[in-house]
Amino acid sequence: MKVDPQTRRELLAALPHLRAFAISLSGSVDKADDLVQETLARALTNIERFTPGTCLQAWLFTILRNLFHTEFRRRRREVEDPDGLMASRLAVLPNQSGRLEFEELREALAKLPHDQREALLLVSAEGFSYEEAARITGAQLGTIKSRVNRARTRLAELMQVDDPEDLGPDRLVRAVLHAPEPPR
Amino acid sequence: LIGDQLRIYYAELLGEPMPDRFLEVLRQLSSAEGKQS
Repeated sequence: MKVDPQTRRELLAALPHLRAFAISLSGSVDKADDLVQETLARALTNIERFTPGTCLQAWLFTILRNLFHTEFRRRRREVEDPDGLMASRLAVLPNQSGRLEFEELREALAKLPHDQREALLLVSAEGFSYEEAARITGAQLGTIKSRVNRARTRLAELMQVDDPEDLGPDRLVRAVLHAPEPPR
Repeated sequence: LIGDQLRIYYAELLGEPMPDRFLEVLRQLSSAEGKQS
């Protein structure tokens, strides 16, 4: 297994993002860790297929996303977290107030249709362009844009955001609900 | 505010330490890099 230093650094930097995406996608910390571990194993086995200079994180997300769909989604009942135990499985727990907010948002995200949640996480949370998200998911560009827009609208409804002023100055909220058009 | 909730959610997920199960992968990467140098 040959991994050049630059690729190694990028791979290590991608780990938290892969895990966050996997947790948000699967709704289970344990399943997410299985998913990330398998993603890493496949990436390292096939590292020669990765073209240096291209986006390693997008390549890894593609692997993870495909693994999720082929191996995990069909076992959806096993990866659901109906009791809201996900936060309790994380190593670093937020305080009580933060934990409630964490669970509230987690539940809102979980209520989004799967394809919308996936698109929202890729574009608005992970910062991929629409084009990158389309390549990762294998969807048409217009489909991704539509999914992201619908996800933003639905999330705002679920979080009962009626007034844009309620969004406050937070950068991430603006990114999720009012993200500008990604660079083409 | 929803902004605080989102910030906490992503901060918690991205800030999570990597589980021990990934240490083997990290060791493999370090080993591979060492062999190349």
